[in-house]
Amino acid sequence: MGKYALRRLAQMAPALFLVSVAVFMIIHLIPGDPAKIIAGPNATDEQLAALTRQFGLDRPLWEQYVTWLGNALTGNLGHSFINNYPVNQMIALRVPATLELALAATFIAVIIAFPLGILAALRPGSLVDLLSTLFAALSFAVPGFWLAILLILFFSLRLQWLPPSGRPDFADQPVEHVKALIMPALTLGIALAAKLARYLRSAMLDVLDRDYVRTARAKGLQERAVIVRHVLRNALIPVITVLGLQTGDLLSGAIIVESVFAWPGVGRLTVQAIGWRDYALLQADVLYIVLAFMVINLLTDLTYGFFDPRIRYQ
Amino acid sequence: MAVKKWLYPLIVLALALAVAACAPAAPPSAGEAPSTGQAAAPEPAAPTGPQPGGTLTLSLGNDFVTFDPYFDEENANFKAPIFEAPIRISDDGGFEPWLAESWEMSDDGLTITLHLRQGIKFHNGRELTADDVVWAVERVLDKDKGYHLSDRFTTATGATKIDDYTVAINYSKVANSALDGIARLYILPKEADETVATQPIGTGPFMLEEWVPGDHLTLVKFPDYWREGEPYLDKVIVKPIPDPQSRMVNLLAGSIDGLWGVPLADKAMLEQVEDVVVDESPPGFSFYAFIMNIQEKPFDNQLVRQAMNYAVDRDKINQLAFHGQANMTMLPYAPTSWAYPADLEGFYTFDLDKAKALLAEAGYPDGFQTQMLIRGAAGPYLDMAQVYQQDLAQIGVEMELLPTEIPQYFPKLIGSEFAIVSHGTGEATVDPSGLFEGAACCRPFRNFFGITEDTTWFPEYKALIDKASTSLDQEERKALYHDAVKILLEQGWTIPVAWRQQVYALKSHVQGLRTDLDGQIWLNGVWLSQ
Repeated sequence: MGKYALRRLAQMAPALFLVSVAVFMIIHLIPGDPAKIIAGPNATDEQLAALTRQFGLDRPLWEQYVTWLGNALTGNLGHSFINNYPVNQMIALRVPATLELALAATFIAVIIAFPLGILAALRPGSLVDLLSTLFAALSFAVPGFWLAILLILFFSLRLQWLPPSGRPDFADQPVEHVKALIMPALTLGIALAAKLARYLRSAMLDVLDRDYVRTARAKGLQERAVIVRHVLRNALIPVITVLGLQTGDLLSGAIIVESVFAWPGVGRLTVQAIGWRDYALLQADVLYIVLAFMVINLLTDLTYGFFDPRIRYQ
Repeated sequence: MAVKKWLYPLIVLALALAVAACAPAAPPSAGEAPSTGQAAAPEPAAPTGPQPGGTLTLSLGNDFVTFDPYFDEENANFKAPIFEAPIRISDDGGFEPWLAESWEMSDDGLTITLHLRQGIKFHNGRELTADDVVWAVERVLDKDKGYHLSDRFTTATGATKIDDYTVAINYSKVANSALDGIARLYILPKEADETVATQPIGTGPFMLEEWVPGDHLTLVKFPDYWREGEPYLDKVIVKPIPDPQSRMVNLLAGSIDGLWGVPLADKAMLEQVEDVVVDESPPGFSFYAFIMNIQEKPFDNQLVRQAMNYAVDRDKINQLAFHGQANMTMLPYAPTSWAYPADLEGFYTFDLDKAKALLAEAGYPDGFQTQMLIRGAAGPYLDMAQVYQQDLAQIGVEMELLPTEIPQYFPKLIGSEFAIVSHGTGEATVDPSGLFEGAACCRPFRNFFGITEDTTWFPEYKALIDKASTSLDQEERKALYHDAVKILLEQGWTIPVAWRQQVYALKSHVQGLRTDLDGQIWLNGVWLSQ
């Protein structure tokens, strides 16, 4: 498995290279000229030309890419067009917030979805199943921004338990930090929980009908052991796939939730980069998102083997 | 579904409780605790005067992208707490000495000499001298660094140091708008040139403690500030909260003391909240407008342009697009301006019959089809265009709306790639010349709306503006601007609709906070009454 993981990691390099070429080209194809946006409508032609030159946009695209690649290989992903801040630092500042939110949301999703999904599958048609279906339907139907505002109204304004926005420094205010994380994580976690619970329910229902489950029961195994060792374990593969994809999504930033809770994550940085056509920032940002997906995919693949020993890594 | 029937009422009850629990809370009234985690406090004693100390927390909406004071975008209304200029726009609409204790204009009007105060320090501890002002002017004139401020120094040729505290700024021609430029010439130390975008250093009342992008900006009181006793606050925190609804809830919950960018739809509601004060920047500088490209058919026809003016129902636009909260205008100057042409009020009124008759006279009795470029994918520019679209339909004009996100919008605007546009224009200047020398809508040069030297009325229009710009006689200038506005209305390519104003809301314990006449958030005299 170690060898497999290393090989996969090595494969990421060419993939990242190809992605970087594609992203570079696509970004430059998006309509909108950073020099014109930054210079504003009152700029003179000379000012526009000066900014275009300053950003290096007057050179051929391939030359711009080669320069970028050369710098990227030395760890320099460029500087923001607007404030000249190193973009890898800009992203590094946001990644911890995004990572923290993604993990907390995933944790909340798992602790809601697993009991709900399992109970719903074990007693199809029961009250628990009905409530689980209702929860899923509501979660799918309720838009994130609305749920977020509702949570703020309830927990911040009415009960005054949780801060409505921000992310206090953990070192200075650990309790406030955790309190500030609860609502954004809950908003994202609830939506994810609904998906996971539905997948888990249907995967378990599928497995419960299998012959080997009947055999396990026939040989006198306790119901708890049947469910945990035979049913749940076999039903987990599709759930892990969904969980992996969704976590990748969360790692690429949750724009709406970040905006409502003023959470300083990657999502808002992406919006800022697109809005200003800040090519260097956008390029680095998209590469981070691709890398996050690749790592999550690898972890997902490795997790399969943990739950299903039949899966071999070669 | 094997759910027992008796369970249904219980489920309904549980759902009802959940919904009730989540219902929006009523805005806090007097006596109710305004802040998270705070117990209800007794009514504060009547304030006796400014009290020093305290932390003010604001949200302006989006995060800062740069602190460079020559850059006029995101949060550009937050320069004054950090940076200062040699003079400033006073509350009565004139200019007052600031970093410069006095100034004078040479007899030929080509030189403005500034006499700087002594002993003013930058946040890095160095004293401000004439060299810094000379360098600031050079920076404005530098094509790489002048950004949006350079537009206010188009006639400046440079600056010369006379002594350590005296600077002369030279101009190639008399420019009545020169003082407007100097009032925005925020001075930073030369050594901060490369880092000012992320680590601002000025001479203002507050200095940077930390900026965590996306999270917060913390400013602390500058202990060596040159104005005795100011500022009162110890600390100012600015939190980016991009979502306007969330921003309002943060204000109600007490996690911020003030916010900028109150949606007009929510202004009336916020005004009802007892411990919240809603205010707005004065009208008179920038306005919402529909503007036509006079090179594009059918707007190359003056009669069509006039018909388009008669089809604007400002009352309806105010009610439907601005929730009845906007100050509408047909003229490009506010009544507070000395150049306000009062006799031109009502030059156009909402009159669809007249509009239809003009279209018929222009050869379009059945109307025509056109497309309107909209600034932004959503928001006021689209909202007001939708109301206009309905009225135009009644005179046979089918107008397709093209909402366009900002990065694509400006290149299209600058490239004149449109027939008509829903835009925001105007130039914040004390001197009325700003409208014709800076504002995209109305200036005769670098005009995106098809006005060129070949335009038949161009020479007359340009001559009026040039003469008004260089005349030193206010009465004469008023008459010249009057005639220029008249041409603007007769030719009708720009249709002013409503004033663009900053709407902000503050907790009632915040005293003395306002936007000044330049739209800058003015924190010098702000104090907290609790």
